[in-house]
Amino acid sequence: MARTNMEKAVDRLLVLYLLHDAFSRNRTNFVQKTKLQKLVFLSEREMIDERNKGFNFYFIKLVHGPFSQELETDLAKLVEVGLVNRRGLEPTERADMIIEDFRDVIERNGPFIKYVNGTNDGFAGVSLEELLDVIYAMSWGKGKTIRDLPPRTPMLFPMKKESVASEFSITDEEAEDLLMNFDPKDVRSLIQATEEMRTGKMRSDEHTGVALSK
Amino acid sequence: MSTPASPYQNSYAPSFEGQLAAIERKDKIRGSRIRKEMSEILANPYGNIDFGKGRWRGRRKRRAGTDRVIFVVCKQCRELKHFEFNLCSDCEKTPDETVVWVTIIEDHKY
Repeated sequence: MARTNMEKAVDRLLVLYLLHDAFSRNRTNFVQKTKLQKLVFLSEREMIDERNKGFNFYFIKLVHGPFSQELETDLAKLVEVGLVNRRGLEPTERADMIIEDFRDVIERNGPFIKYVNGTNDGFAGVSLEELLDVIYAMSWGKGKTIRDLPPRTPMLFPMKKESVASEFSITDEEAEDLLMNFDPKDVRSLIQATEEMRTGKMRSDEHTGVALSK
Repeated sequence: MSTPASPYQNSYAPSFEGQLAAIERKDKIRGSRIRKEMSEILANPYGNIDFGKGRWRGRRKRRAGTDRVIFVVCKQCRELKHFEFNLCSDCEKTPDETVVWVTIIEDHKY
């Protein structure tokens, strides 16, 4: 089932927070896409184990271990709107603004943030090869490890409502404010308007076009 | 667009005009809902203050159905030192009593 807008807002905020935390606490200065996939996988797995609904990504096993297409798509959007650098996935100053402006949401959801911090503490600083070794060796099902799973085995998926003990807390308004920052179309429209304001292209009632002359 | 009762004048980003015109062509009801909110903002620019966050800092937003009207009140922008976000090149020439219509976030469903 497709994620709701609320779930997308939470997922993207948590991914951004994970990267922000990994870089700002000097755990790393470069994160490959594959490594991000594994860090999010580890965080989401911990959350689901304790029935906490934070991340909502669907993970399957691929050649390099757990992979989520939705995470891949979200990351592409974060890059496109200028919150994360394409190379090395370092969050930009604009990402810092988001973390700062949504500090109360982050603090309100301390238990969820702890999972992310814990993952970064353990794994953000290790090499991708080491991280993959750790993940492949993790047990999954009876007597099996992740390495043993056939390709495309479903691994994690969003929790069903009845299984949830605790859920990331965010209001509709906060989710809306976040999605405005994550939607490339919205961001492009703001960039264009700001450029028009910056270059003196604004129009008054007298000079406006047909659209507003009523 | 300005109402006789309002001392505020309008300043439109051309892209805002384009968006509004396109919405009105597609859906007159949606368009008039946006215009109604714009008139209310002009009549009372300091009501229901709700600033955007992150990249949207310094701009206010108002719900109009599933659309969001993004705007700036010049006096408020000056008082709150939001020039760094809005960067209007004609700031010195623009009166305090101006509402700058920035953009419309179209058809968000939450």
